[in-house]
Amino acid sequence: MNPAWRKQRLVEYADGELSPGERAEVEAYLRDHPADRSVVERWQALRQSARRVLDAEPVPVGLAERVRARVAVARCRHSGRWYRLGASGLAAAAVLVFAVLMWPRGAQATSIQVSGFAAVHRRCALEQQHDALGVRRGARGASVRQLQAVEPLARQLPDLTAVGYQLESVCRCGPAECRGCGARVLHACFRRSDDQDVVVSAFVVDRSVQLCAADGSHCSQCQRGRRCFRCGTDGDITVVGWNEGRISYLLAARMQRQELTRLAEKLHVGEVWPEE
Amino acid sequence: MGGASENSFEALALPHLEFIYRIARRLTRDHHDAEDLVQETYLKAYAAFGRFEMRQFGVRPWLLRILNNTFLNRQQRQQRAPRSADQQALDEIHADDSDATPPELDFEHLDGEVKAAIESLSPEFRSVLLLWATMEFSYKEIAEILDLPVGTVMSRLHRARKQLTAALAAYAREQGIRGVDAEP
Repeated sequence: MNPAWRKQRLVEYADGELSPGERAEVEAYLRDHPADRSVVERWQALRQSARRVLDAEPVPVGLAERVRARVAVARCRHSGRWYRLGASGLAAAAVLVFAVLMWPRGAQATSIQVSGFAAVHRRCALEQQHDALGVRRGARGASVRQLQAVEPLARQLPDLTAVGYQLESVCRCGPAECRGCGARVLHACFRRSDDQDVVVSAFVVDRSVQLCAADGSHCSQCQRGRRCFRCGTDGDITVVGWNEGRISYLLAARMQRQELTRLAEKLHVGEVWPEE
Repeated sequence: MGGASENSFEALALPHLEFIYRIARRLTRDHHDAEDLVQETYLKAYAAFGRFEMRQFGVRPWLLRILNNTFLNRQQRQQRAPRSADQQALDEIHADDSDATPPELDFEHLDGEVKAAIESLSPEFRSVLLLWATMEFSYKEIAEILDLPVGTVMSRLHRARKQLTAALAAYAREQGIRGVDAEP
């Protein structure tokens, strides 16, 4: 074997890329060349080590259930859509009329489950204080205004500091369905100054979203002041959402629905994007 | 797309969830991002399930392909994509043509160093190396999953292993392990 060909052959042998005949040929060669056998063994050991690293990765508890739930919602929507489309042209026309009436601006709302926002609130705000934008690390006591310098979407963030909360952490985590439709999400965690146990997550999504329950049905709706809120619960967490212009705002917290809606009603949001 | 039958999406795709998550975790290097990526992958896979032909591809490679495309799309959206790995490889190919043989080390106790070395790879190299590391796929299958020519897979794999080897050799030198620089 010439050196270059030999080296390539040994790598392919270690990777299991050779035919049985070629393998036998290399194995015969290796019997007489212990140094090269050692090279092959090291390639294989490296691969096995890489595999051990991969296999050792712990999988989050409940991941399968969360994925199963999302697929169930997708199936529900899928079936509903085909039922409507397949039933008759009239049904399609009804959907079209409904869409025109509900979204006169032409914006299409994406349905997102309450549990998606609640899960991010639990994970990033309550359990881990996920702070990808370094609010705690770099700018202690940072205000929403300071945050705007590093994240343009923060201009839209409801400023809970004006109603007695402190900004604790900020990340870009959101429900997978938001990512799935290409939406950008900003998630900020606020803690009440006079009661450290009260934590509120504020989400900003750069498009219209509509909260829905786990079975895909719409969440309850209520009008308060100039805002129309949709509310839902997931376990002990309440999520309230509303749309302004092309932006969606959501709050999540361990609060009663009425209390969270009252808080949402008071909030000022930044520059509202112009309507299409 | 029935719910309970053995050919349903759940029955075919969910058994691969842990494997897909582990690949996603190493690709993204963040467990939040990994879970989001996995959920997005499964939703896309569900949406495309009607067009899926198992005899053509197999469930796991199909899921991996969706995972990889979703990962790349996210990177592009976040405008964090590094310059092309092929360009990197071309840049380096003349500068460094040394052997990529791993040093003589006790690999049983080097998983931490191997993990750090894998994470330091650029995404293009990392994805090839992770699929190779599963010991399930041939070069051709990796090429199909990543939608790359086989030659590119081999080239990226060579580069990835070389970087791993260099990292481990550096570690061995730090530890004063003999024979690291010896050419076998």
